[in-house]
Amino acid sequence: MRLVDLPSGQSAVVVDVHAEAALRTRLVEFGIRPGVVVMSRQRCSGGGRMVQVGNARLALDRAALNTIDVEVHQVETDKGVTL
Amino acid sequence: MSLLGRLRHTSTGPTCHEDVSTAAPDTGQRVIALVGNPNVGKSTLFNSLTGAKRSIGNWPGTTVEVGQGRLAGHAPEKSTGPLGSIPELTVLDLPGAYSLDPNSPDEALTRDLVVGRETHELPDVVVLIADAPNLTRSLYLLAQLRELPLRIIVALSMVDLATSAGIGVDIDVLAEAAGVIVVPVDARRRHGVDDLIKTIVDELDTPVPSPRRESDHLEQMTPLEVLDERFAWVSRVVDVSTVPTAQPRPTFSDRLDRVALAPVVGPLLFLAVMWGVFQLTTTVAAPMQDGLDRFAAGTVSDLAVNLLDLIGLGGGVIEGFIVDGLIAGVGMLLTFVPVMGIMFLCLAALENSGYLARGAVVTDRMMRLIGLPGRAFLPLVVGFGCNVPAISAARVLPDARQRLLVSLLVPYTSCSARLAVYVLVATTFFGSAAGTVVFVMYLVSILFVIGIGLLLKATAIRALPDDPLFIDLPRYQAPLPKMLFDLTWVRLRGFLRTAGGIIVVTVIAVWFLTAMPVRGGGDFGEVDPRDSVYGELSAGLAPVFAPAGFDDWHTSAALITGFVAKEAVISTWAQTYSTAEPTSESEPGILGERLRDDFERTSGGHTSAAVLAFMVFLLAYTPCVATLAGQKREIGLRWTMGSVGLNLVAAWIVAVAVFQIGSLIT
Repeated sequence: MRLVDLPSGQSAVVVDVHAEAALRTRLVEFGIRPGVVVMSRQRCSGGGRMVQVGNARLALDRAALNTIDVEVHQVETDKGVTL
Repeated sequence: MSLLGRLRHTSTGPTCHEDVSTAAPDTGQRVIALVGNPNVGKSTLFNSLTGAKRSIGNWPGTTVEVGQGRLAGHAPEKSTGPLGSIPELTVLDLPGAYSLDPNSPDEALTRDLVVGRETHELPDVVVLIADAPNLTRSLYLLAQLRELPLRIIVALSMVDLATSAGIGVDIDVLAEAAGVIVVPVDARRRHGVDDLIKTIVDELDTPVPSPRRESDHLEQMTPLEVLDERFAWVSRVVDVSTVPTAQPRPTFSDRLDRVALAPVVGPLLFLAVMWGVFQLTTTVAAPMQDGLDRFAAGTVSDLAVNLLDLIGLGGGVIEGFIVDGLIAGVGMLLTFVPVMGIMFLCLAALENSGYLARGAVVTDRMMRLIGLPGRAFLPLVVGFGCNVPAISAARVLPDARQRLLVSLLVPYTSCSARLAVYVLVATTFFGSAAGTVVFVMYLVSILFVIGIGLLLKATAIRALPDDPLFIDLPRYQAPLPKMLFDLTWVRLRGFLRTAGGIIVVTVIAVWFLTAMPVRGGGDFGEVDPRDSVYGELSAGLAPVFAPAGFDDWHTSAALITGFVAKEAVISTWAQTYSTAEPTSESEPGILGERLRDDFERTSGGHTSAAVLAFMVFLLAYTPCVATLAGQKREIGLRWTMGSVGLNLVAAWIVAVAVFQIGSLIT
């Protein structure tokens, strides 16, 4: 599933980021990389989403959201943190 | 070249901010570099450490220039006690960065200053400000810093916020796992700052720790492997040093963003906020402006005239120079203090509260129309306050063509100096509808930005990158009043410094040219303004504005001075009209009357259309000289000249269109 299709309020695990190198590096710096739990918080004006990664809130537009593949499954990290 | 030597090269030129780098220190100094992600309170901590006033903002990339100051309590003259032997400690406030892989000139500068090329260029201590709620992201930068031979201290901020966000940080374990000293700080409330200063001083003379891994190992890895290795390190450190405290709940920021970022409502709210700002500037600043104007043109001028009479210098060239040149110039500068002050205060509050980042999200779609990312919204909004810092703020953009485009568009953002002229003109001609007319000017300004943006995108600046929007949303926070007033004062002082001299000199120059006769046989200082050099010059230019309905030499004289500084438009009017009066009193009422008469005459009865055309022309015809100086520094002389040419042509065409269409309707 693309992150763009993740309904608001749901969490998912990032499985792949297929952005071009510069954006990919930037996303990784912000903690968006395979294995990380992201939560789609809300729809934004302009068609993008507000996404929560850890405690950070990031606004991404559709083009950016389209480069991120996620998988929804029971979120259970070794520390028991759920989003 | 030394680290500080290079710094001097990197931060020169005009800016509305305090030029902190001019107090260049001697060599042999110890350097402490502050680094951290944007929005972690780096500038606030810098202020606490140095006692200096700096630009503080809650926006990615606010700290464009490098701040420099002395570590508090360690200036040589205060060097008593156990720390007295330390020569001098310079603190550098580096631009916010998410990593040392530069994505913008800001980050490149940070990388350059931290990494250095030679060991002796490295800062003596690097203080990394880490945001406890966003530990992972902060530690990514630490992972990179730990690859270098640096003494690093982590200043951990917002620990209380992390706890309420559901994460507890064990500081001792964090220090152990990351291999650095960790000091918890709360720069907003000054907690832990003294501890940090003491730790910095203690750390200075310790041996430099070895990097966390061998550098030759790094060279054998692919870029992707390097990223993975860093994240593995970060994950390990975060895992051992944090414990979840409670289930995180939606924060106050989340609830606010439900509205602020929502489709339809978000952009409307943004528009409402902007409208509120301008309404505040017109309703609050205008009476103060009038009062100051009366004070300078009335009380002070009368006093000066009486004093000059008393010492036998009344009535001549000297009185003209002092009253119509010097006092008029300084008086006019004073009238801008309320407008600029309120505008800077509003802007600081918006930045500091975190709302500006939301503005970038809701305006992203529109910005994209003209080939710019939402981030470009920051310099453009700053431009509405003052064009000069806006040109510098364009540096937050990663792409050179985007920076060029923004630099060319900033002059169309209507700065608060122009606002002062709108307020006078609109209150004179539109009475109670003045607020709305001024607001419309801002909409026109936005239309200019879009129109010129589209034009440039289709012609001069093609192949703009279309990077997806990706922006960090800082938590909302109530701005600390002291911080707001400090920031406002810094910007206001910067404005007075950059613009003050220009304005006063311009007013004096106009007085001089107005006093110099070109015909009519009058002596210097005794000439009717129309018969002066300036009057002749302006009258020669005036017919150019006939199609726009304001073919009048007073107004073209005001526009010529406006080329130097928009603020000077009103004073030139006042000068050219008031010296035409039998008395030297220049009450705004009289000026208003004279303006109304002349606009009615030149427009053939279509006064409103001509006034609107004039306001539109004033909005776009060129920024002030200080902005041009900034443009030249950022994009070079040729682009700057091209920009001025485009300003003039676009302003004239639109002004003529406004008058021609307007006079058909009214």
